[in-house]
Amino acid sequence: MSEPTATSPAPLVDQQDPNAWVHVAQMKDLARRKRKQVVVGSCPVALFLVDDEVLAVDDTCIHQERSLAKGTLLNGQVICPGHQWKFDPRTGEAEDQDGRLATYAVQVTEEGAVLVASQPVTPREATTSDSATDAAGR
Amino acid sequence: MSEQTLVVVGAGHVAATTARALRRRGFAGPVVVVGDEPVGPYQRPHLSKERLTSGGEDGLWLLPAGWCEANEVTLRTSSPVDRIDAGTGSVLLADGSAIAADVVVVATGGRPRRLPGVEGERVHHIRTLADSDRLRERLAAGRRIGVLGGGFLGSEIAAAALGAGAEVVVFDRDPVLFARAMGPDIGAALTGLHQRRGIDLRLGRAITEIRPGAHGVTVVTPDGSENVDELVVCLGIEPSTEVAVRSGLVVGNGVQVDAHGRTSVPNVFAAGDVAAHDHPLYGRVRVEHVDVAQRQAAAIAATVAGRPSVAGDAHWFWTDQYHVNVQGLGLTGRLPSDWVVIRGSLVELDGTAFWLRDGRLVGGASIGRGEDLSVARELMDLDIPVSAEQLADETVELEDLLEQEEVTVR
Repeated sequence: MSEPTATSPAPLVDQQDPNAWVHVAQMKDLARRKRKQVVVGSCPVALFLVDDEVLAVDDTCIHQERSLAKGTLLNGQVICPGHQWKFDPRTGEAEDQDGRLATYAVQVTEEGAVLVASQPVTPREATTSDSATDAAGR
Repeated sequence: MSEQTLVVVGAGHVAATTARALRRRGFAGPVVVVGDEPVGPYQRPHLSKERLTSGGEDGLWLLPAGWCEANEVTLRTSSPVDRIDAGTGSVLLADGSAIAADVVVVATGGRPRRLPGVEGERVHHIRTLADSDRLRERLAAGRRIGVLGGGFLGSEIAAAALGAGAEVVVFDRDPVLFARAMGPDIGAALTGLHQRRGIDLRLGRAITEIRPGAHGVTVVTPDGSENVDELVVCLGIEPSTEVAVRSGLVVGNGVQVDAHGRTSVPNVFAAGDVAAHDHPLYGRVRVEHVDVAQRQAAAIAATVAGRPSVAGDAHWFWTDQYHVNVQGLGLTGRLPSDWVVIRGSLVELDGTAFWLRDGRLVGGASIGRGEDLSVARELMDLDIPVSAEQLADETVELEDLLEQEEVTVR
């Protein structure tokens, strides 16, 4: 895998290149609020700092498309501000519903640059919940 | 030292969260959940929402059998508890058997408040899954459902009944719904929502008499008599403290516990609807919200697993009024002298009310704007000063206020 450039802003990357990493933030951006919304390609991604580890999942909730980065972190779970759906940021799974958020690999350089892989590690899956905005999935 | 056995008396949200949190934190000892219902822990909020409207089980069960087996958590259902015997370190069941326990969590919850004489085939009190299922069978088009008490539970049940095609009448002694819980501004907006949806609201009137019969219930107010096919009594709960009392625990309005959730007996904790918790922000208070129960349970689990913790966060709750999400944060601690600031439009069901005291946020309530309360929680945790103008001004991003911190000399 090629060495990622740590200092330039989001470089133009070939999104089909599974080796592409996008520099989305610095660790100091996450230190205080422990969450941040970033963009990877055209996809909004939510970063969460849980026990000193940076986790990345889809920012858009599978329920009614609210921004999870605007939600709450509790006991290592992400709680959507819309209707309090809970997600495990490591697996993207919703706690009491079916469906899951895509998860993304993250690496943090020695200089504190936070890099997110351009393609998800695990896929997004729509929920079948009746109240979902788009139950059939994107 | 051998592994400790932890027993939860009660099989609701506290039991489920305690079991999960213990395992997540590496507690390896036996965990036993003992409940008196014939089913395991379930989502109580569902009972007035999706379970009542559709009868479905999606997301209902909190501790699926597979998880319990994989995590060595034993679930004992239909097992009422008599008391805790601290001397012998055991939980004594009503059937005479005993479960050895090193640590006990009392989570016996509460039971619905009942009015004398208001009982019978057409009267409902909603607390258990069985209660909800019994009511669901009676909700149908053309039926007339009376709801006594338009609080969180009553209003959600009214909405479910309406959705089933029933006619719904809600009686509440207050002139505005939710005003006591969330302030008059939020209250007025939600009262209007229910009215527009077609709920027949009878507000600001005392009930003078209730006459249950074999085929319906008559509710009498100063304005006259109202006949309904079913009456759902939603007047809150009383804490179920019998086990605690028989076990010698100090009890007031619920089981008294310190900030860590400890009762007056060593190695016995209590949490949830039954617990009068000494909260760092509010003092001793007993709260009937799921999130509060879960946080108390998580803190107890952390403490037992070796990391003493306190459930000291601002109280947070939510209610779904039709498809509108309403949330409250920190309202337990608000005072009449606090300054209320409105952001957005409550009447349009897209706004937030904030409570300010000495330049700091103490609480908030939102209609459709959970994001505002998420930021409010951070502003409160970081003790960041804010002005009423900033809160009311929608061109000011609340998240930006997190950057404005007073410079303190350390």
